[in-house]
Amino acid sequence: MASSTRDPHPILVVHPDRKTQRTVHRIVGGTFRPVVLVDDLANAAVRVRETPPFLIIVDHQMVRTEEGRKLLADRSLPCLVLMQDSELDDLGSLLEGGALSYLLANPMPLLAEELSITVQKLTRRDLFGLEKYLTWGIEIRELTLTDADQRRALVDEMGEDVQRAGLGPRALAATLIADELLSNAVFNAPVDDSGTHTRSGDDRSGSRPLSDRDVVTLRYACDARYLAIEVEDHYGSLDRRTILRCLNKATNRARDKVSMGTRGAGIGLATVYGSCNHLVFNLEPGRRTQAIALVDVRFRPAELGNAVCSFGIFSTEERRP
Amino acid sequence: MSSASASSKVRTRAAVSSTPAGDLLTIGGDIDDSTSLTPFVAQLKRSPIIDLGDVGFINSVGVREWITLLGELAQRGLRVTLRNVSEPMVRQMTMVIEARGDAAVESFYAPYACDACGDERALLLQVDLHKDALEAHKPPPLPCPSCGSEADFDEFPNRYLSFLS
Repeated sequence: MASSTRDPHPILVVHPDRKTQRTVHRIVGGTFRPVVLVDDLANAAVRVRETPPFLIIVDHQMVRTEEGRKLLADRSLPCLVLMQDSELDDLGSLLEGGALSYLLANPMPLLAEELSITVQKLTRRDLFGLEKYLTWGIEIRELTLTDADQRRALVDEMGEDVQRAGLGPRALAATLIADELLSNAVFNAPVDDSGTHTRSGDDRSGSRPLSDRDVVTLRYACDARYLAIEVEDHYGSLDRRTILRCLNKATNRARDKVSMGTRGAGIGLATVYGSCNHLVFNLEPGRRTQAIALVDVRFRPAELGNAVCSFGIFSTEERRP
Repeated sequence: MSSASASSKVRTRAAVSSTPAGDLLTIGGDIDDSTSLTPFVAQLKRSPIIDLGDVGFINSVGVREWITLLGELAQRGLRVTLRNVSEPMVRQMTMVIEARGDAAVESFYAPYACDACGDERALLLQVDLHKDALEAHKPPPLPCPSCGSEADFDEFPNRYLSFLS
């Protein structure tokens, strides 16, 4: 019997709570990578020096310290932050740091699914597609936007499908998510060679044929766990820092977050983040941006008992040990 | 004046009428990129009341149009009362503080769920009637319209009710 080659880079779990450590170990253990559990950042630093980990999974309280911020800022060490039982205020300070790429905030069993899929995506370096978040065999609907003024027609079509699927009030969130993501892909994504946004000043309700790179696709599907909505453009102009700045607008009620002098209002991505349970961005700079919003259909908000939503920003250009 | 189809793409319904309590602007449908609400400002001269019960959708660009309307009414020194604020409107008001502005909220819809029959829908809460409970962020159970059992508030009170504060 041949033995497969094991990747020596471990998954390093840094969490003060032993029970959480063990739970996370069980969830990521299925990768069959070595899993190292430590209680604090000092021990984590020792382990990092010994063998650079493939991924660090760390408690959100720890990344508030100076040591923790350094850990997050080191882009060569992918860092996934666990944040449970927290309020939106806590999230704002994390996002302001501008270094966060993966935040998992939902309680079990969502955490198990989100964590497992996130680790698998990083392990396999296979980032794109809503299929990864759904059970096998689910039908996926795909609609293509070939003119900018078809946006609302596509959103309506999706809304009707979601209603027919018996998802009730979640159709409200679904239509808003799809509308904002499509708007972003049609008007904010297009850039010229110098990186200047070429369509952000366009009339948002006008007609504009979309061909080649301008074509935008909307895909959606629902299994017994999630309603997943995916929008993809072919510019790949969205970056992590912009995403974090936009998401931060969802975490507070500060004044003047709405842009008054531009065509877009500047709160589209924040609106999406505030309307779903998990928001994923798959970035291939210069080629495509794919946003996937997941709305949990098993649990009502009060049952989840968590006001913070998970997100992940995956990039094909992130280095891995 | 009512405006429903200045263009076939306009998805907002809006009309002004006069009531004993003040001038009433009733808005329904979608508030989005095609919506223009400021033309109604000139007709809202006396204690404006805005009924939002039939607003089923409002996107980020629609929010900006909405806060422009509120801002222009405030500039004229008018104190606006919001009636039957729909769930999509409340959700935007929880994130964008100017989306409520200085307007008084008379009543609003909130998500409720019934454990007995599984029904999920938005139910109307009168702010005056439930003042204490809402201030304590403990919205009351309400009768389920589907089976008559008790339906419970189905959101995080701290988040959903933040627009009232």
